[in-house]
Amino acid sequence: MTEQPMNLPYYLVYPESQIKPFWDNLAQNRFTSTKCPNCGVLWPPKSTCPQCGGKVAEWIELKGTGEIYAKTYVGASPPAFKDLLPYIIAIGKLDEGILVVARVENAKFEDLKIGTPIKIKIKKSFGLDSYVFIPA
Amino acid sequence: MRPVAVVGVGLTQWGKRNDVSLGELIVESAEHAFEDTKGLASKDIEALYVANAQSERFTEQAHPANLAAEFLGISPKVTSRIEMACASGGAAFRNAFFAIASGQANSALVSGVEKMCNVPSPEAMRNLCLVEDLTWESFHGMIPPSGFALIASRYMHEYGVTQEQLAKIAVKNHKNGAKNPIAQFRKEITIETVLESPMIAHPLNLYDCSPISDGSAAAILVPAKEARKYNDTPVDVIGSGQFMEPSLNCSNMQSLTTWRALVNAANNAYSMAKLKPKDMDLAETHDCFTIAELIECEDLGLCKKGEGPQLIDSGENEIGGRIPVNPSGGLKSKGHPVGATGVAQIAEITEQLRGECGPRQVDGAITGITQNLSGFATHHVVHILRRQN
Repeated sequence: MTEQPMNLPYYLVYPESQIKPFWDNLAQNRFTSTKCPNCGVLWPPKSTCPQCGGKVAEWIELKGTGEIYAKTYVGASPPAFKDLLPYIIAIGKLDEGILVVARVENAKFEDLKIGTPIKIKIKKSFGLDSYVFIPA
Repeated sequence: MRPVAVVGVGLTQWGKRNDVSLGELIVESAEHAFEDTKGLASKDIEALYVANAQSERFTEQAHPANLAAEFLGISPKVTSRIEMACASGGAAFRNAFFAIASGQANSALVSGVEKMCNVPSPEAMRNLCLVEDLTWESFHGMIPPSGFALIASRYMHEYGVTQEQLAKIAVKNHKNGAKNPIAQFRKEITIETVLESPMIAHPLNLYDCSPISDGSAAAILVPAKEARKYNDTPVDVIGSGQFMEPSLNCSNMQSLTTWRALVNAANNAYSMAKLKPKDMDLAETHDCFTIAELIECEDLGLCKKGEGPQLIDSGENEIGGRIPVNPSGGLKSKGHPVGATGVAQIAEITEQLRGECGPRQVDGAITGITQNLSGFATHHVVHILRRQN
């Protein structure tokens, strides 16, 4: 069995009950999050808005497109990620205005600039439903 | 609220300490702190705060506050283990400050401790990854250096800073740490040492990063009015601030390059002290990575936003400069035993204000500031200390 990154896959196997739709949608190739009536689209999906503390119930479909907001190229990692080294991590600013952390695949680090267009690709990671960025 | 003063501080040797246990490390710094006072002993302690982030992961021992009480032979009436990841030390000191200020206790011991070298370094890094958001960051391969590397990439884009300028922070802190007898790395380095060291997370190389360390630090607090009974040169705690963004991960930070939690924590501390950044004679800041010290100098108001790189180039942040930053060597050179770091910052400022720092002494220092952070800079603790008149 693949080593789990943190030895604690708990939150992924038993996600917060209120955001279970995220994982259900992801399994159906849909990238979604929640939207606060006061503060707009949230990331990560939450049932309580971290900014205003209000209850959040609305789910929306994200376009999955955006641009590089911040980027790094990782040369040392915990054991679980050593087969991926070196890998690129970015914060992507999606069109909905949210900042999302994920690895960037199918790209050379030198080619990525702040502002380079990217999009979400839904794929499994460590046997679990997940997502990465790829160049748009 | 009554005024509070520090009357004793103590540190262990930092670095690899395979010669002692976690409990012995706690005792070692506490004994130095008691020796630093005039006659206070462990039996006099009414409040105990143990700053420790991850004794469970690093040493397989939970419940370190009880461990400390047993090793020190005390049964304080006010006590807690404080876990705030890398800001545990600052948070514990703030709790001890409140315990004295509120009148609940007449003496408090803050013991910061972490023993991290028991485990291989990849495992140590994995443990530190637990501080991040497991689901939305760590699972994607995020590590502590990569979080600050993302911040660095954003700073480079918004304001501009070179890897050479970041390296100068490490060079300065090693230069200072070489003069600190307890520092983990007592050797000077060059810009080339940093630039040629292995890449950890671009643009941060190994020498941009603080190390894995064992170590402990202690501070003893009493009401300021009684402080002279216990030390000829008490140091008053005149400002205390703490603030966190509503965010475990970096996605919800208001800005990656202006740390809202630090600005707020610093404002609270300056306001309590009725002082301004220009009144600070020196600073101990949380240079877990070189980019962190750069942003901290700006957000503490020690220079203007975006002018951190000029501060670095000017050398005004060196001992003898306008505002010496991290005369102890900082986390970079002195080491970063996570729970001990924030307490050691208090110890350094205290000794500096008493004029006891020998070759790394900041001449004439009367007022100093500490800043301790956790997470990807989402949580900050700031203290302002001043030599008692």
